[in-house]
Amino acid sequence: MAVEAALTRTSSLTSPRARRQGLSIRAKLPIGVVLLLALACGALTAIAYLRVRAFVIGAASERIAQAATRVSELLAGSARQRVTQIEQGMKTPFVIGYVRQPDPAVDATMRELLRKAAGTGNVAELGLFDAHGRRLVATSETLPLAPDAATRAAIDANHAASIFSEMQKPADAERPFYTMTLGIVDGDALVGYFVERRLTGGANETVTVISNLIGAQAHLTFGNARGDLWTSFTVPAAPNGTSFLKTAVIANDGGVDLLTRTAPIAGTPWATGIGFPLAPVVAPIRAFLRDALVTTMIVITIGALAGWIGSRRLTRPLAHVTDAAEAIAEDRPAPPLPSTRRDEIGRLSTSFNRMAERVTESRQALQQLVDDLEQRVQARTAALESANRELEAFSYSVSHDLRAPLRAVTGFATILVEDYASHLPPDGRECVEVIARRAKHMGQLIDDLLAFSRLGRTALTRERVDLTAIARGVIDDVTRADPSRAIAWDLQPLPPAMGAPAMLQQVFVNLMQNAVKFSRTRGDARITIGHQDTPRGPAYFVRDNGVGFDMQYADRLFGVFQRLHGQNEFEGTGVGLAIVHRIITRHGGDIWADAALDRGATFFFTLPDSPGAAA
Amino acid sequence: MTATVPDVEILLVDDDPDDVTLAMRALARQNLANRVHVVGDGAEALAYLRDSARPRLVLLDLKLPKVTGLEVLEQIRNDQRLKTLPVVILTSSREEPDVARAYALGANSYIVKPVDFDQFLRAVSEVGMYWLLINQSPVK
Repeated sequence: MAVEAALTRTSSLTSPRARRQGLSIRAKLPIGVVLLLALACGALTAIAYLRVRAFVIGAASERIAQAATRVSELLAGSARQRVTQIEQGMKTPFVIGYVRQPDPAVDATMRELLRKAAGTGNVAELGLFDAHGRRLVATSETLPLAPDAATRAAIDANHAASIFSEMQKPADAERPFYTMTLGIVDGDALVGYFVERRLTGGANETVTVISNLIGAQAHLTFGNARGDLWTSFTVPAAPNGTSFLKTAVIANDGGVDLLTRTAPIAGTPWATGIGFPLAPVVAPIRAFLRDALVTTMIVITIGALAGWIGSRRLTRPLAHVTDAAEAIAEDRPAPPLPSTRRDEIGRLSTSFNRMAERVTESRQALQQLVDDLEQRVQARTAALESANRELEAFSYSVSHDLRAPLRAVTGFATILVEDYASHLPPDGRECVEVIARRAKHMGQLIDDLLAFSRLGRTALTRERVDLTAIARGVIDDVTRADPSRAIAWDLQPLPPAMGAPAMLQQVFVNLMQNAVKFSRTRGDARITIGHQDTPRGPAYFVRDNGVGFDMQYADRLFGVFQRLHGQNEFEGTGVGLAIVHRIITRHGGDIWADAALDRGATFFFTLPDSPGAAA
Repeated sequence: MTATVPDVEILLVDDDPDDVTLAMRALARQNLANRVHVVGDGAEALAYLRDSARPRLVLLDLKLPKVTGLEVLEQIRNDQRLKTLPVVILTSSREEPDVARAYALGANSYIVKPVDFDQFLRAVSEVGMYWLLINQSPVK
């Protein structure tokens, strides 16, 4: 029973459920695989994305640059065409003559000629100026303005030059304009200037051609090459100051990211810029990125699944081992682990099975032992109970059946003396008296023996006992029993003890009666009751100054019917000290004596459960 | 109170003839011996009590053939007519369970027969005198 309880307790103490659980291998492996795959796929995707993006943007940018160059060439050609047109119309002897020698009579004709050259739509104003830059005739009273000094100087240096100005847009103008200045040459002499002031835009066929060339999504602009003013063909006014005609590859125009390139227009201070929305360019890259991410997710999912399956395969045997170990710990039958694998786990399973077998065997052996012990205890208990019953019956018989004949012996011996005294000689009377006395003594022996035997059978119930009061009561009883004795009692206060009060009283009665008995030859009998402190608690003692005894017989002191004095010296049955010894021993205490022949005796005893005891 | 009372009657229940002799000798000293009826076992005692006039005192040994003293006592106490009868246990047993059982069943006294004859004489004669001469028994 007790062994079983101990086993159960041990198993509950070491239950694995009580331990804190960390991250299991089963979880760690898939998580590791997922992290590794995510890292690898993420890095690959990022690198591929950046590379592809750079390539796609680079290619698109190159195509836009080519388109810009084509448009610039187209516009340069258009400008040259206009120069040729004007030169053909103006470098006539009539015009040269007029410039050399202005004649007010032909002013009207000349103005009409200029108006014809300007064409319809009021986009151009034309004028003729003499070599000093003075206005001769023009399509309007104020425009165009005379060529500035720089322009004139340039034409002076190269009479064939055609000078295009940068575009300008005064605040009150609706559109930007530019001027084209040509020299009017007569032989080698520069005789005057032809100036055309022209508003930009408007040429629908040009826009159509260019749009066809670069696609509808493209933003086409052109303006001054230094970027201070630019416009588009479709938007009449220049956007507000910012210019992607500079070198920006990607610009933002009204919330739209544009991929832009510029190209200068030959023979002018202008440039063409083409912006292409970034979104359609990078759309395939985005698609690639999305595909790559989806692929990554799929790869990670597959990896996680594979990791999970792998870790399950790896940890399932471990879980089996754990379950089996718990089963063994909790004293349940553990099914044998499958040991078909030939790797480390297989070896572990095999070893574990061997261990489980041994544990089961040991446990069975232990259980067998426990059962055996229990049976033996039961058998012994039964035997003991039976023996106790027999002893009780025996005591009863002794008590009843042995005393009855003794009573008859003493009774009839007495009757013999009383009724037939006259028939008995003195020797005979003495014999009868001996018979009566000895029978009476035997009765006393039987009584003492029964008391001694009863001691072993009564239950010991401990309570707090005031030993001083008990000793005082015994002194009173002893004094009353024989008032003739003059004894100097010395009762010192005794620490209380734990024990059975009636039994402890019996101890004091027996020890003190002995002290009284063995000191009766002393004129100054002195009996001391006290205690000494010892490491095992107080040692109580009863000391007398009586006849004492030889310590060499001390070992016989506490045996039943053992006496150190003759019956003729001191009467007694030799049971009193045996009773004291048994009581003290049953209390778990010790008893011993210290004596010398003719010099008194001291009996000590301890009661280990006394409140003052160290234990 | 007079020394002899005509209707004094003691039922002495004891199977040991020697003890009976000694008890009778003790009772004789109080002049009570002529009113004693002696039976040797419990069955006889019960039969006597059922059939005859009721005694004033029963001196009852415990260890008896057939029906034990404690059983006799129990039946006396369970009998409506006899339950007030004074019963004194006079036995050799000084065993604690016997004493306790006897009192529990309603014994009026419990005397252990002393081995010493002088003490025995004194005990028996004192018991007889007390219960028959000093003590006031319930009315018949």
